[in-house]
Amino acid sequence: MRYPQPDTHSKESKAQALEQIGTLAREHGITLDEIGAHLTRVSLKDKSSTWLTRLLGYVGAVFVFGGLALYMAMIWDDLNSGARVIITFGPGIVAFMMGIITLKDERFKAASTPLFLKASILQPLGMFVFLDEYSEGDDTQLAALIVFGILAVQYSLSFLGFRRTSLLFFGYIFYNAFAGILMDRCEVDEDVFGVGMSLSVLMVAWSIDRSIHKPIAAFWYFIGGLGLIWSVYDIVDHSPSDIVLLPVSIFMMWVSVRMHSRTLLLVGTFGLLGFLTYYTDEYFKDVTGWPIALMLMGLLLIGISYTAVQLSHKIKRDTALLPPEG
Amino acid sequence: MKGFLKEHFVLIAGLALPLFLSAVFFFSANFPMNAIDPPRYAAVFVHEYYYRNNPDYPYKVDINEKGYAEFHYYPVTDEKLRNWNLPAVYLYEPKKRKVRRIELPKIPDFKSEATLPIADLEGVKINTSKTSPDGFTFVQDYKGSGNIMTHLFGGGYSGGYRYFFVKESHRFPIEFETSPFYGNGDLIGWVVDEDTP
Repeated sequence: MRYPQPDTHSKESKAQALEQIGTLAREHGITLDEIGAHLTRVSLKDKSSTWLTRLLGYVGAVFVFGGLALYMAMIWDDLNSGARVIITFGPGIVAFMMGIITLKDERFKAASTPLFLKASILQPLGMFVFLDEYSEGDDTQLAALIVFGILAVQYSLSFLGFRRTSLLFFGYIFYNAFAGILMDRCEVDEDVFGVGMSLSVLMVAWSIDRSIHKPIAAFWYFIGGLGLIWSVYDIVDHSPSDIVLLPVSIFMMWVSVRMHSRTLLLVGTFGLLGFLTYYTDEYFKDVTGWPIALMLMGLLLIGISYTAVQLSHKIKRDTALLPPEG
Repeated sequence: MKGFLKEHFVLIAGLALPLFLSAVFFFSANFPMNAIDPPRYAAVFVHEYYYRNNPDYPYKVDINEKGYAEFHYYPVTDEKLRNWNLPAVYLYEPKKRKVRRIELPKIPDFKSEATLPIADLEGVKINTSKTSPDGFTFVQDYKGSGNIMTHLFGGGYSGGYRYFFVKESHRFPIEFETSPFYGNGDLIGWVVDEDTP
């Protein structure tokens, strides 16, 4: 026996469905934009969940960007100063504004990050072209200080307004570029520069890690941790105080556990392995016990890697138990 | 405000640390609290003098028995001559706290040895002692090899050779109009005649 199927495309049923949607929207305070965004998301999920579609999308974007760069290079010599600025800075500022506009519409929010990425490359390029074409003097460092300072302010203010992680990421890159050039210009000693900048990055990474922008914290932990170990190594290399590398590496591993950061643990572990390699090479290479030292170092490496894995599991467990933070 | 500072103390400290270090180094470089007087004696030194100890190097700046600067040329083959840079001689003037480039005499004949007086330093008596009469030594160091953080975040631009007058751990930098990136210099001597600059 066959039951009659409801005609889902008839005018009456559509009107009934819209009536129901309207009632539900009023009850739950849902706006038209939110309904549109939800339908777009579902539609996009159905259509582009395959990796091939995504890959082709990225490759297409690279081609567009590459084409723009190639076009600029081809016609560069024929352009006057104003046109050169417009062709570089123009697409950058447009991409940035489009990125901001997409943030206002739930349906296109995902497009904001690639737009900000494009803007973060083209805007500084355009500003450097502007300074090259219109300013006098050959102080490139001052030009870079001005460009990165302006961009740091622009991206930071936008981040404060829209709370988007990608804006924070690019804003912090520009801030670091500005601060690094400023430190160099103020004749900050390079050892102090290295340690100071690394500690600064680690502190900011720690703050980011405790916020909803957590996904970018690992990158900054890596930069800060690597920078700290490298800078300390540069200071104590081939000096009697080179043993300092050992407590620094162990301290970093301890901090990684406290901060629940497996990235920092990785850097600390490599720092410790590097220290052991350096130390045996520096002090035990030419003694008859070198083969024994090598074997001891091998055992130590196995021990350290085992401890690192244990710590990594502990961090993973602890992180899973942590309540979500806003 | 107080609550905000307390809650975001680590973030603020992290962001402020590079600016704080910049301020400290800027003030210490530009407003030095030196407890000693600056150098009073002019000094003659040579920049771009890498190969001064190489037996094939054809140029030499030194002081004769009477205490005056001389420029020596020792003939070499044309091919070798092309490979060597002329040394750059500078006079540090303590009253202006600046350096002045000294022009070297033209070599009349590259085939034969020559010892030529330096016109810009005519009548300037020079003492070749390592320490000036007021106790300063001439020191050079190299800044700019950098580390991973300086390379990542834009440091190292102002790298290069730097020269100082040093006394009891106080360093007085020798200012050039443009920083000499390539270098390796040497002190020729101190101008002991007080009538000279």
